[in-house]
Amino acid sequence: MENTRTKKIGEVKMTALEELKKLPSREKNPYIKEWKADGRKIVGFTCHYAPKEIINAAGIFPYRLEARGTKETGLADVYYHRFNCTYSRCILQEGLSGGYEFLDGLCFLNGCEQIRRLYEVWEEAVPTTDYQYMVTVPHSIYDEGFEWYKEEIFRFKEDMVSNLSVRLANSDLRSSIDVYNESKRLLKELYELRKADNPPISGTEAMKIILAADIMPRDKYNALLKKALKQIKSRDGIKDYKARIMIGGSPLDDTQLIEIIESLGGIVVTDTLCGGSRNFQEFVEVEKDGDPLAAIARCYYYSNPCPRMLGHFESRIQYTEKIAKEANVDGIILQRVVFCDNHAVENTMIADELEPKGIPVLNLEREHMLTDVGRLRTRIEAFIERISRR
Amino acid sequence: MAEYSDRKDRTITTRWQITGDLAKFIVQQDLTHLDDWGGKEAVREVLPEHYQKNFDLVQTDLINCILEEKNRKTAMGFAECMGSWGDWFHSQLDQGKKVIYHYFVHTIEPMLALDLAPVCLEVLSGLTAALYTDGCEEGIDAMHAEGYPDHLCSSNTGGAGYLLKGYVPQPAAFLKGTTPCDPSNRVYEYLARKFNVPLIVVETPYYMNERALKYLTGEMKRMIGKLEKIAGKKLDEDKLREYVKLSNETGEYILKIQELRKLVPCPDTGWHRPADTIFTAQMGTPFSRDYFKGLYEIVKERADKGQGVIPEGKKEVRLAWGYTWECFDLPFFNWLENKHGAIYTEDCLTLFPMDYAMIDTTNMETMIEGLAQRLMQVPMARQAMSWSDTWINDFVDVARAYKVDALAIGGHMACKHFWALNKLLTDKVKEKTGVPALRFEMDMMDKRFTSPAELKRIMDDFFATF
Repeated sequence: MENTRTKKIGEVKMTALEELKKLPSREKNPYIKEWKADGRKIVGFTCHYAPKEIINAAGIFPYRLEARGTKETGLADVYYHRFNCTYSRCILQEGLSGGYEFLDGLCFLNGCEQIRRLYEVWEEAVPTTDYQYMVTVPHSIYDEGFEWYKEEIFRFKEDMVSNLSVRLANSDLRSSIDVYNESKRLLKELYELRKADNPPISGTEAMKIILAADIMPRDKYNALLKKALKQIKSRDGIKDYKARIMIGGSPLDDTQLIEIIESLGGIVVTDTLCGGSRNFQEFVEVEKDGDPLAAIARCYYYSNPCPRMLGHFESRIQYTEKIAKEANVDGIILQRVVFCDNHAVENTMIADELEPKGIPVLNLEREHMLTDVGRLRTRIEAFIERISRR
Repeated sequence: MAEYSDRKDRTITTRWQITGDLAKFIVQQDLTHLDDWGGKEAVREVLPEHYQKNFDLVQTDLINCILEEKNRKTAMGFAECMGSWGDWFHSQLDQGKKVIYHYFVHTIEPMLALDLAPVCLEVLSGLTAALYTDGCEEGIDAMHAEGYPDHLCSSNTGGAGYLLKGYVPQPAAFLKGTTPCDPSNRVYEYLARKFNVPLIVVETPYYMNERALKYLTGEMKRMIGKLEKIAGKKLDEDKLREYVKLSNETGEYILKIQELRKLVPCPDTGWHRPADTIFTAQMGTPFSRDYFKGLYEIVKERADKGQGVIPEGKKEVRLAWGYTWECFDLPFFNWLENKHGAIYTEDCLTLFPMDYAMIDTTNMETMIEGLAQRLMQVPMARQAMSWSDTWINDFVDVARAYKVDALAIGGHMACKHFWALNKLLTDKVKEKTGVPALRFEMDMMDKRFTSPAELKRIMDDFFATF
């Protein structure tokens, strides 16, 4: 039974779980209004490799750029082109149409070609963002690269503190690390529940909870998630599904695709998404006299490489197999936004490796705003038929 | 395709060799156009038999282009160096040298000094696309047949497809700098896994400052260590110096040619610019040096006489190519000169920054740092790896220094990083220099995307409004 009334947004009383599931993005997000009303700052970031703990430690709300619900890219298309993916164009569209006026700053990263180039366009055409910084991450994992990345985030920290006139002590960093580690622990718990034969939560609901993590203050998120987990544990499990699905590929910032999968009898029980399972596998471990900043850098840099990381496919395929096995999936749906080169190649390579091992894979191309739902439904329905348990 | 070589894995390179010889043979004839002897079919009949099959494959317009008086000497140089490279490469294979496939921005001197046989994957696509009617489409299609999408870069997938088909030798390793782009990174990762050989990654940082240079110098040392393992020997300083001196000589010629292109009238033709990039990727070899030396002498001779390359009576329109050339129709640039008086000043793939072409050969350290500096600054890597500002500023400078009338920007479909700055580039160049720009879509290697005929229509329309 879900009966814990915990929070009031507007006139509607909601449970913690409902609040996480229904949290709106950008201008409709109540936490943004609340945060800004207190005179505090918000800094956006574009990629998994952004050191969120550092931003948070400075008393700043780190907000992952997303374009949930964006319906068109007319403004963005003036600067970007149809060969750029609609994920990057939708984010730019939001910037150009005022969706990100609440940001005091932006931490860009060179995660991919299309997102990194947003930096200069944003600087040129989105005058409401006063502060921008580029953190560059090497494209391969080795010790020299780690030193580079560590220095990059150190420089970012210094620059952000100076430009946004905030304070940041090592003790703040340690506290912030604890907050984020707590999120990871809670999210791991959520994913453990999803592994059950009859998971007490759908993939759609789980994804909504996951997405909320990066668009609300993290300490409040943890409090809500703790309560929500209690609610979830008290539920009956979902039995009436045809196939257990893992999802991977391009970043997802909404649940539309998962809703389609689940409307067709699948249940999404895990993922390899950068905003999903890859985000919480490793904890930031700081020794008593250790450097917290180095610990943050180590955690982001060495764990679960994104497909942008060159020469690490073996590590990614092993991770994919491990996660799929742990969640006892019947098949994997790898999706990519059109013109996403990293996932286009990665998804095909994964499919080629796993299908011969008896793990069915559906390789899907989509736009960020799902406009061709009929095509996707047909492909997914056919896939679920192929792998169906009943 | 395989019947044109006794050895399947030399299909592509043998084909180039024969085409090089064929080109020299044809240019030496008393011909200014194939129609002089009754057209391509008629000419075929009088060719020595061993050229005939190759002649069928070569683009007709290209043959007519190189027969034009202004293009003949350059074509001879190109053909000579292409043939010499083929001879050298096959001799390396005969000696059992290991083949390293590398990205085109890499400095290859360490590989040469280690007695490895470097092959630029993108040259496999580019040269084949440039010479033959069917381009490198068989290679591209081979990658598509593996399930890889058409928005990857055809300059990578063409060569990759030839590897899959076995038309080029088996790799001992792949060498890839991490920038400029995701599509190339991914294709190299795929190939290394497919062929189960090492992928040597050289991280090219985002910045172009002292910190980045120090880092990249370290990367070059790491790369050399890995190449040494493959070669089974240590890099010899004197041997490296020998190749670096050759590449320095080449660099000098490139810079001199760049200076001459600034003259009005422009003394250099446009059709060979993809060949310039191909031979820039071979810096450190005598073929590259000889190609640019020959080109310099041709351009200098014209410059000394105050000659341009457009037909008499036409007004010279000075174009800069704000990004890349297309490779599948070299005569297109000749057509621009002849029809519209539009000369080709510079582009993003041949624009070599003056300060970085020369490498200090004092010792191993200075050479490795110089190679790192060159890798950082080599055309396209320089513009694409870093902030948009570098690209924009370079073309503001080009517009001024080369007295440019317009930017023509053929945007390669796969280059998402370019398409993300295309408006900023054109706006800023216009704002700072008044030079207008034409932007259009194309695929550098694959004429099925924007056809040669369509490219000409685009340019006709542009010149009508210019």
